[in-house]
Amino acid sequence: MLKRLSINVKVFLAPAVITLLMLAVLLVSNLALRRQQDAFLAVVGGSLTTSTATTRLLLTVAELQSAVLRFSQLQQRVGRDDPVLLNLRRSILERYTAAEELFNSVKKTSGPGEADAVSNITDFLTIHRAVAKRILDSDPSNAATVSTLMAHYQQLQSYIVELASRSMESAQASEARTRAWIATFLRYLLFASALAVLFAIALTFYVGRAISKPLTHIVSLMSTIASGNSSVEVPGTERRDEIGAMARGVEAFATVTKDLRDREQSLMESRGLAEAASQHKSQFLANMSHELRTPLNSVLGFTEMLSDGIYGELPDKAKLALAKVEKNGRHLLGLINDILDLSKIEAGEFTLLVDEYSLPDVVQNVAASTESLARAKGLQLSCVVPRSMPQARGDQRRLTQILINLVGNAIKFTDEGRVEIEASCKRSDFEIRVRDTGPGIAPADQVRIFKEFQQVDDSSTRRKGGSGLGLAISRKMAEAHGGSISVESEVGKGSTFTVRIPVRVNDAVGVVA
Amino acid sequence: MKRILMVEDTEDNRHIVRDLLGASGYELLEATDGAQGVAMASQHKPDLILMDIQLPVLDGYEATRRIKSDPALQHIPIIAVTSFALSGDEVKTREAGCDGYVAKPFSPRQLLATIKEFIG
Repeated sequence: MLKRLSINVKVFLAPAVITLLMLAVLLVSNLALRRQQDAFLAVVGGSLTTSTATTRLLLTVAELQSAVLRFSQLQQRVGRDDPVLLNLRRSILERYTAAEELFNSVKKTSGPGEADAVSNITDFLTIHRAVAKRILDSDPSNAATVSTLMAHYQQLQSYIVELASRSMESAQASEARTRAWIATFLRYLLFASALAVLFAIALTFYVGRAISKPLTHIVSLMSTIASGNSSVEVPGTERRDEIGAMARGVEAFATVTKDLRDREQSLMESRGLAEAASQHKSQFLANMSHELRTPLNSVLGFTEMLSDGIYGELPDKAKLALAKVEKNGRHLLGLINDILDLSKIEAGEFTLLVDEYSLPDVVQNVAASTESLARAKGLQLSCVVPRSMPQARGDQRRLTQILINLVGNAIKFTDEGRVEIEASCKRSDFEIRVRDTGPGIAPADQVRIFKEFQQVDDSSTRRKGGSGLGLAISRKMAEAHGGSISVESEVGKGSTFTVRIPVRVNDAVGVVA
Repeated sequence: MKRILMVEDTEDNRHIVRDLLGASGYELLEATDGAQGVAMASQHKPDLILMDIQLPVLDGYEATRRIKSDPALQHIPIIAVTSFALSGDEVKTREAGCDGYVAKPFSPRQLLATIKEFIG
């Protein structure tokens, strides 16, 4: 039954019980003190009073005796109606009354041990009074009566003295009894207090243990669970008190911990698989890159040499046909490069080769590379680069790639007019604008064109050529530099593509996910 | 006549360079793997070496390193011919000791121009 009590109740009960014990001890001590007080009062009220009264009685009786003797002597000398005699007679009678009253009060305060003495005094007081009365009433009294009175007086005196001493004894006995009682009581009290203290200690221990034992056990369980062993038995989950609640909590904790560890385990396995897959992909990319470029190398290489006349001068028609072969070969190469670049970017393999370069040089290069294309279409290609540009740092090759893509697009999509390349430096960024007088791009399409495989008009893909990858890659590469590509255009008013890249790029910016 | 050693395992590529250099007045030596390349370099001491990177037996980087660590052969310019498949290839090329590089697929015209740059 004790086990079923909640910790709350136990923790309250223990001190409550101890407090009650203390109260009990106090109460008993209080009773003892009162008893002592009563005993003392009894002594004071009783025996002491008796003693004092008895002494006064003795005096009063002595006075009475001498008064009666004086009366008897006076009686011999004066007449019956002598006023002095009559006065004396009256005063003697008054004194007897007073003595009786005094004795009554003595009787009241005397104890049972003094009963004999009290009855004796009662008798002899009566006798003494009777004899004294005879003397008072007789005409003069005779000597026999006086000596009888004397004898009675002496007897009375001795009984009064006896009473006094009995009272004293009684008081002393009462004192001794109280002392003994208190001594015994104190002994019992000490014993009871010792028991109470032991009981209190035991109770405290019990309650303490009732709490700390399951707590310590649960705490050690929790550290076991935390250190990895999730399959432990948690005891006490069936208890209905606070320890039970905590035990159930710990059980839940163990379950959650186990779940987390399992999940962590499977996550690590997945990660391992993902990493392996990524490695595989990288290897695949490397292989494909080599495999695809090798035959193309042959195609373009031989085609070029044929064109250059290494195998002898060719007829014009053959040269024309060869030019087409070369053009298609280059187109194929462009497509392969784009796809491989995109794959690299997606595989996280794309890094920048950061080095010092000169922007004017890059722009000149691009212009030179695309000049023939522009001329072939009858377009004017112009280039505006300020002479003093800060020294740049970044991936020159990629920047060139981006610009060639933009300029190439401009030329491709513009049928008449011109293409302008304008470079400038704004604070810590380069700004290169590629402006054309082409058909322009509607706002709705301006977002689409940067997506992979999208051109403004899907049908134009076949006419204009191109894979549609260029802008997507260019943007990603610009972003890898910490820059951006944006477009401003209106249908019918041409387009302006702006490349913004930092003048100096840290290696840290490099990798694009 | 200037002598050029070509270390290349693909016959088509060798064919192109053979025809190209032949028509341009260079003598061509050919090796088909990295080890052979090192041996022939040491034997013939060419004026320039064209080193393909993806080679059997010994890859282009290692072959380059070995040639460059040979005091008798250190001075020979080595041009790497590589398809730059993996990131870090450019760095590796430089670190191995190559004096220049040409990207695959290469334009024969450009290759010729690069060779002329190094040995005239």
